[in-house]
Amino acid sequence: MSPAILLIILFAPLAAFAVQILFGRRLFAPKEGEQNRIAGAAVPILGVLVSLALTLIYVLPSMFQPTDPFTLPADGNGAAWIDMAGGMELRIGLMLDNTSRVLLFMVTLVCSMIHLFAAGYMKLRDGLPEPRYTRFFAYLSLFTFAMLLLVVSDNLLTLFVGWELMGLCSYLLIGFYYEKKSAQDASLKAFMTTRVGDVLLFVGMAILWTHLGSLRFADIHAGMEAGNLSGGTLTLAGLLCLGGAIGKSAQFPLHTWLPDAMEGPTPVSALIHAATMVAAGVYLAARLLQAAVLDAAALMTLAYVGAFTAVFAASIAFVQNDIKRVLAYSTISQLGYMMLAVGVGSYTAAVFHMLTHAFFKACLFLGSGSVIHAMHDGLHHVHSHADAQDMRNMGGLRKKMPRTHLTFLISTLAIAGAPLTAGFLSKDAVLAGALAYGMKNPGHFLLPALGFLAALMTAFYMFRLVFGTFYGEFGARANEHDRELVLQAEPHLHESPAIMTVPLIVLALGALWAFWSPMDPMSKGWIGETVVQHEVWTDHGAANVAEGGADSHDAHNGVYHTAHIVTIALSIGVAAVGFLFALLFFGLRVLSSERFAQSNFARMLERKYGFDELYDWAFVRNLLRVCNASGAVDLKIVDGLVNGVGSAFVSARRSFTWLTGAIDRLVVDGAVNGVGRSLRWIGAVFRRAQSGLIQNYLLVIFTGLAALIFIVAMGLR
Amino acid sequence: MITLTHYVVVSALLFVFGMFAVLTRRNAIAILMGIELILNAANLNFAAFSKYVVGGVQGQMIAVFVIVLAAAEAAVALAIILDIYQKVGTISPDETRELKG
Repeated sequence: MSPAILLIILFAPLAAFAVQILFGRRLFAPKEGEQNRIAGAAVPILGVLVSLALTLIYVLPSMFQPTDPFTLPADGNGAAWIDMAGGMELRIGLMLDNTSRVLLFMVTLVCSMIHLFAAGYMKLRDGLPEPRYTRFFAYLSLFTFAMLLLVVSDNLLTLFVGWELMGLCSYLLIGFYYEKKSAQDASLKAFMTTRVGDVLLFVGMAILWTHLGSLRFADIHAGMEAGNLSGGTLTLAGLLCLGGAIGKSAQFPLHTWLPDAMEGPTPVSALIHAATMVAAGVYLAARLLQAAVLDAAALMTLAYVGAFTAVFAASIAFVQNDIKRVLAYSTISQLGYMMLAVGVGSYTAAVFHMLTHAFFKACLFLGSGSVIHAMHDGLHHVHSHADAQDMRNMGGLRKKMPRTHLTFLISTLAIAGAPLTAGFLSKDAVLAGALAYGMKNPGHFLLPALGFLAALMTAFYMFRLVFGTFYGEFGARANEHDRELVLQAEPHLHESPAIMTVPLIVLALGALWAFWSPMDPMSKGWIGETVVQHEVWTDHGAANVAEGGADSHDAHNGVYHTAHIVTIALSIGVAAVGFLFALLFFGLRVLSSERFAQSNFARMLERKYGFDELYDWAFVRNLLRVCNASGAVDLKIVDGLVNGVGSAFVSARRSFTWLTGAIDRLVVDGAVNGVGRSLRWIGAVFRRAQSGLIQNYLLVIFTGLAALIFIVAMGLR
Repeated sequence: MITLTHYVVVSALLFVFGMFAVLTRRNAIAILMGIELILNAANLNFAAFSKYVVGGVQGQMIAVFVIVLAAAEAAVALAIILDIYQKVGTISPDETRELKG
């Protein structure tokens, strides 16, 4: 593979972004009274398809060749980006190891599918052509570039650049419908909340740089080997960097932004807030684990944060009725799983779950988009204002939308961990890692216990979603006020066009076992063979954690093997229990959830444990209070001082004037009036120059400057 | 090989683009963007001359100062623009000529 190919893969989406943002509206925007043309999305789709094709041809096959990581520049030492005096320099480069390769494949494939889906989904808004169609795709392209940059970076610095670019795109796309106040608020909330994590990450990077002199993963690892950073400072650096990962991956306590981010268009939720950007936090944590930056305390914290978030978010998903919000909480919960995997040292399991989750969660989100699209059209036809995302207005959609139903069902089985799905393989890997860790360290039995509990809850709320949306009677649970119109919408419901269903089918195929582990539907397959941590654990504080981990050098010494067998049995069991409860409550409706829905606990869940209110009370309002207080200081004290000085001068001047007034009138006035009149005459001429047009002034200034430089240059010659 | 001339040419181009934006835009925010371009042209010169002619990191440090000042300036300018918009209902510099003689 030549360096040029990697560069094309990386920069093709960026080029598409440039074309789209500079010329998109002029070239592709619909004319008056015209439907949106798919041409408006052609350039970004082409850009991402180029990346996908090159990845499939050149990058993916090289996974199976036992070679060193591919680096650019080729010597593997990076190039100096900023080279300052005194030996300070920042070196950067690109790197493809097997983790990067497989993620490159996942990102380009999922991005391509979502680009295609969005080309159909975004065409209309409320029955009219979407006015910002071309801009939407420009943002998607920029996002794709940022994610690719993050994946192929060999250092924390360019990773951080991609990281922040994704944050920007996330902000722009959540607020894409900025006419809605709720979308504006959600985009700001997402930006501000992740910013808290980003600042922590930046401080962590600064600590690493001051101690190790480089931000490249290889150099960081070498520095850790040499023992240049240890003890409390190392723990602090690790925890700060993880703060960034927790913010980006919406883990507790920075989880509140992700459900609100569902205000964005559904393809955005699928791409950014399910498959790629939120997984970047896990990717960062995995890279830090690989570079041995995380010591035992940091890993322990991460494992508990992940396990707790997995259960915590799943419990909120129980009572949500907006289908996208259920999926959002399920994303938070699944990301918690991945964090748990990193925390217990199961590097491969974390990466594997990140990959399979991207497929089935993107498929679920796009499926919900397909449903919302149909509901929107149907309700629009009958002029109903009922909520197109509320699953109480749905039901029985499997007959209307067979392809959407089938793909959605496959992905639900995958996320619930049913056998013969990709989710079964990766979730088992995560749970087996946690269980092996719990068996080695019985004090931490809570970690695998929470993991299995979350698996049960996942199966329950996901099948609640499936039964509520695709089974039963259409509109049977709509509220009194809307029911009549909602029922009339039924004949107008239709399956989505091919440009939307083909991506669904491709992603659903990725949610089955065959692609990942064709030979043995019980193992990690080729991911387990190729994506392993190539560094053997060293004793930099992480050793005691690694002993229990799945990928340590003694991976096959029995504990992990036993844990894996137990896990397979247990996880099938808990998934079946979760499914059974959902079937009884929401499928067959032989049990009633009414009493639970009335309880205080359910109400607390509906309010998401009150975290939004808590943060509002603790941070937002206090910040406003500080702002108001400093405003008051400005108004009262500073202004008062200035006014006081002013009025003192005024009164002093008044008495002085009374004395001098007489002389003034008699002697000075005559002279002054003469001067005044002539000045006024001159002023009348020159006032024309003071047009009040700033740009005229600037033109004079720039012309004068140019003339001056010209004269000086002449003089020097 | 990238020489000082390259930096100076890029910087000059940035400056001219910025100047063009400042002179021709009818939107105060776009003018602000032009000013940012001009500031960054200066930054580039600072860094380039510091590396190729003077040596040391003084130039880079000044560039960092300029970046910080530019951020502060943008915050103040945007606040002023918002205020003008609320008072006058437009941010075109042509419409807001209160200071005309």
